[in-house]
Amino acid sequence: MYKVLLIEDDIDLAKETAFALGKWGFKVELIDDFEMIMEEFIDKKPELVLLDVNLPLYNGFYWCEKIRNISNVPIIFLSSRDSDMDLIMGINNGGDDYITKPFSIDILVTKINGIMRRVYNYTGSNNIMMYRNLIFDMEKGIIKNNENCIELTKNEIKILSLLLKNKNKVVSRENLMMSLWESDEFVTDNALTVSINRLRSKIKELDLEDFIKTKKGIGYIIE
Amino acid sequence: MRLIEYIKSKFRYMVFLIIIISIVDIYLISINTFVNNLDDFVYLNFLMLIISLVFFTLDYKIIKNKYKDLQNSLEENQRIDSYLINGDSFEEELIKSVIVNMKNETNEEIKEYKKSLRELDEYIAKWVHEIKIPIAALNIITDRIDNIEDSMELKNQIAKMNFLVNSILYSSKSASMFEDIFINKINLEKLIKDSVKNNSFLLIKNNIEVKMSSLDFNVYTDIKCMSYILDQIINNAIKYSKEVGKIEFSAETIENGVILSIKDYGIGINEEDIGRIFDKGFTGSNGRSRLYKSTGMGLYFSKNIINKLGHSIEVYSEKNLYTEFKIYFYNISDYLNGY
Repeated sequence: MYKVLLIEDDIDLAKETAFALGKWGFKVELIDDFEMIMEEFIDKKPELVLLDVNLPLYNGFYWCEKIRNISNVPIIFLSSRDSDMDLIMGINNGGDDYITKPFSIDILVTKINGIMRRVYNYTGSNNIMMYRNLIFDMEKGIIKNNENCIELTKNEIKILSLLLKNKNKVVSRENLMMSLWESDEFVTDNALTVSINRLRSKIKELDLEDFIKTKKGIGYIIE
Repeated sequence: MRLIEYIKSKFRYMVFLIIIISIVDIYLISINTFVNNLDDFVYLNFLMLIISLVFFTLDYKIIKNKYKDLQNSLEENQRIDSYLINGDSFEEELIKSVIVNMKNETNEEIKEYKKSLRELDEYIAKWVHEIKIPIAALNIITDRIDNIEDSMELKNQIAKMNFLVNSILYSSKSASMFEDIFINKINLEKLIKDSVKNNSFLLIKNNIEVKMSSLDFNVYTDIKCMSYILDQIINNAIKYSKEVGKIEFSAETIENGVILSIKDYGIGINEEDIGRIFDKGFTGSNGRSRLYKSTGMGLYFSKNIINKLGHSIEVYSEKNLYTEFKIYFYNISDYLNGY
């Protein structure tokens, strides 16, 4: 389990972010005393740092430089300041990425995973998912059971992985579409229905009936 | 200075002169100087009159010359400054100091206003950053609400809030002359895709189909300003869409640049309103009759920013059919030559 140090002084946002990242399998540590950030950093030995810019005493750019002096740990800025200057400052002071508030947890997780992959050769614990008799290899984009193996399209991979990650939970059509749009696939409502139906028939070929269930007017669920 | 104005201003001196001459005449007559010499009397008076006339004519010329610059500036509504006064008599010095004084006073006042405006801008910027923190928290909290319909409704409201918060930031920036414009070479396709993603939730929620075609052009613009403008246009397309909407982005090159067209198939704009949609505070019949509130500021600020960036914007619409915005990005060489 990867340890993430979240340096954010708004306690509500810090707790919510920690809670949400926790569900994605990260262990999130918060800062107790903003005068002792370096001490807590050394003490907690995180594998990744999420750093706010507006902090008490010194700003995030200052701490970023301090951390860079002693460590190569990846640092992602989380800030509500969105000017080009701030972004440049963030990267120049040693940040690896810069995300503006308000952010969605999905995007934050995608960026964290991307950096982890580069830095720690981390392939993500859930790149291969199994459910009922179905094995889903996200990297290769295939689903298989003991006998058969079927290739999925880019959109189908996105849809299936989102549904599997949210097992036993309804995923709204809006969420599915937003995650497709995020990868430049600006699909319509109808196109989503078509993709879902194709995905269903592919899963059916693996002798799995009723794998993706429809919640009428809301979204889809894998139970 | 016209002659009549001069006579009016010098009238007392003229009267004074006539009185003096008359007294001298009366005195000379009374001591019998002219008893047998009426010619002398006429000659003397004629001489004095001529000398006075020459004096006043010269005086008129000098004064007219002195205030010519000032008067021209006043008539043509140009800047008034102390160098417009030629001469250094007591009155002229007085006028000069009055002008300098008033200028200083106005400058002080302007400085005050500029300062308070800048403070307000800074406060708004700070406030926007502060309010984004609870919005970010709210966004994450809605993710864990189990009832998916409630969660979507909340997300919808959060997306609207976020749009409004961003609008206030940019409107305050646009009022303060946009000190931080960075003109860069930007790929139009990437710009549009990012904007669509920024507004993805509202677009999806409102059933708006997004179409993009031939957008792979580079333009010279400021990315932040342009995304603000695109946000405004996309948001309008959402506000004034039909049950199932569609928005099309396309671009083409022209001789001196690139035209971006953003066309939505919404409820359109009334013919009588179309000339006024960029006016400050204009909401039109669309804005008033629909469910959504318009501030009437979004397009006004957009137009301001477009002008400052050296682009131009046009709008075409047909009621109940479509609204199309065309943004002209000019080539950098024209940009440099023209501005």
